[in-house]
Amino acid sequence: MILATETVDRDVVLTADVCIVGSGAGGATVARELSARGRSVVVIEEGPYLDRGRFTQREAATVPLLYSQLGLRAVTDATVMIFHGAAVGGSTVVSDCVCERLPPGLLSQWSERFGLKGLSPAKLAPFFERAEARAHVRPLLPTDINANNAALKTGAERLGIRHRLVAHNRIDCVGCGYCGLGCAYDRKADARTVDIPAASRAGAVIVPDCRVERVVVEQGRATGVSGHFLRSRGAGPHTLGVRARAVVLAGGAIGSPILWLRSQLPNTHRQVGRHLHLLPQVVVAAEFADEIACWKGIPQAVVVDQFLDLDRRVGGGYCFAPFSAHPIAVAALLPGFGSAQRALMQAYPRLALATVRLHDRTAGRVELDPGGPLTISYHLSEADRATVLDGMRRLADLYLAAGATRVVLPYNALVEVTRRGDFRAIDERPWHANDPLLSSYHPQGTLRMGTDPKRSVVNEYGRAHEVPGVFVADASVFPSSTAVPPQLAVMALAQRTAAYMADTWKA
Amino acid sequence: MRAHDELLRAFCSTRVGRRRFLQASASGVVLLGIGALLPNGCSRYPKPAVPLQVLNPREYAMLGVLAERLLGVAGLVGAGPEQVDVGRNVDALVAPLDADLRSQLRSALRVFEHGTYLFDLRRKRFTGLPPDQQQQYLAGWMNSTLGVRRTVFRVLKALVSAGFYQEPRSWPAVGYDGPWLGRIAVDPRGAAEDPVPLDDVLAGRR
Repeated sequence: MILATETVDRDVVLTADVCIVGSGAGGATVARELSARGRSVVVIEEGPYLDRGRFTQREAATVPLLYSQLGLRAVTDATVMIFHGAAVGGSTVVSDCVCERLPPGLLSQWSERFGLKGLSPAKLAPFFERAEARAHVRPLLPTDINANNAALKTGAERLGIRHRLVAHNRIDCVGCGYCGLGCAYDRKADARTVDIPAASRAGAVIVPDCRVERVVVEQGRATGVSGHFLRSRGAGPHTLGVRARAVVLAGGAIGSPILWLRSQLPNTHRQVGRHLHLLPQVVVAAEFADEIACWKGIPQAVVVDQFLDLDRRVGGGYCFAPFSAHPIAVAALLPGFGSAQRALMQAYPRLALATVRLHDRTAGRVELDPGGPLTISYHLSEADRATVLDGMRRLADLYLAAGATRVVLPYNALVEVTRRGDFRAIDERPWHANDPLLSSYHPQGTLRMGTDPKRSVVNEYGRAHEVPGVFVADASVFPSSTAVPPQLAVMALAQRTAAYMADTWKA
Repeated sequence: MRAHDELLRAFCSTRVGRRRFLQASASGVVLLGIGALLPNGCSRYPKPAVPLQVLNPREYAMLGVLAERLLGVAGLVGAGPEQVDVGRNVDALVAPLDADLRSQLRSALRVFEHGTYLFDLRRKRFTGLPPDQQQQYLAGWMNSTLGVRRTVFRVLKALVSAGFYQEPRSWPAVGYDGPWLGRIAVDPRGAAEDPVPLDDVLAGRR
């Protein structure tokens, strides 16, 4: 059942087998799995529980509601904007529904470098299959491709570059294109509409609008959490305490390490908060003669993945993915100002948009100064910068091959490429922080998996090396950048974590 | 302009403890410090036509001018019936921000308004400059070698973009046909679960 927090008029104490902090792809999956096995579960979410009536398809109203920090989160020096969900359902509520398995080459690297032998493609396959079935994942069809995706696909075909359709978690999608603002028709098989209701039906208690302040540890073992309601009735704030046999951190790659650090849980080898990867991206625009209307239809149906470097090393390479945006985001993203920017906006219906999404090797860090605020540091390495620029060149070339009249690059000033092979505009421009502008929708790392406690925080099942009773089930467990949107991988690994917890208790 | 960036950079050598938005860099802290010292009066700015929650008349006026220059929409911004009141819209957008972030935004606006004296050696504040000089001044922030000035440029552009393009009357000119809701009939799938009162949760009642 979902608690109506406006009825909370006193301090509350709950008892459960498991307390899960966060209700996104990982937290909701663990909640569903464990409650189905008869365990009592409490899920705490800092964001609100939203009815689809709140998804108005208007940017100014929904972005502050659905995204963390009102959509204004960024790394601390403001060089990368970070967008992730902040309501019951987490980032699954605002995702473009891409559900991809982790690439086999990446898993091989994890096995070799981090000793994660249990995460081979064969061993993970049942978990991926189960996650795909639960989330109604199916491969998209050629008829699902809108004009924005078609522009990218056409360019890739003409240049002989590898590309493919991706799989999505949609049920009878109407193709309105407002996925990033929450699905007003509940056609997205996200955590909010699938896993949270299933967990609730099985007896889980969902507590929205509540900030967990700390994980409670007694005699070296986690025994619950304490926090306070962000919304309640009458004079507040009222507190929430949950006593539990295990605590699952599932607040994402920023939220989970913050909670760990704020709780002053053991961190002997200073690994907590480190190895932050962002899969950062830049948005490139291409103007065509015919209408594209990038905001209409399924936003991301194809991916161009020829330039991912998955087999030789962890990280490196990039892919191209279509990008959809509504007027506010487009105006903020498009370069330049004044009449030049207005002319670009007037070309909005004819603009194709796509990202160069980096499989980053750069590792950032999430820190919590004693008594102070959160710090997110992330400084793109020289090698990764060069990779982004290479991606911008190739994407510009691809769009021009597809018939674009000009390609607009993601700098502050208006910088264009109009002829294939002529990349002086990129080559001669120095790289400055926040110019080109980077953004991230997939923060990950920070509490990574591994067998060596000196180099990792949790084992391959998400169990904390140093704190009995603490598990992690979100994107923070990945030991490197995943190269692909991690929604499905988070669900699959969370199932594995839940199965491990259940089996351990049975024993 | 770049010489002034370097001058500002030279003042910035201390590590910053508390970091957020403009406080992320030493130069940001200096910029905020300058903002705090600048005059806060609003007597020479026209009064907004609507009551504001957060912004003062100077900030309201600045946002209108900024929207016109940054978005190239001169004449379309204002309180008139055919115009978009960007200042009012931004006021509503920033009202829910925490006090710390709001304060930094307002400092940034103040520095931008009066930075004409420092960065461009002009005798008038930004809103008092003729349009062509406002354009030059904006270009200085956009192309600055100082990261914090580029960040301020980005933030201001995002703010006025949100203030202007949130209104349906701004959409036809850019070919955006707006949300589907209300235009097409779609049966929603499933039914949302209704939240239950605390007493029912404590009693285990559904």
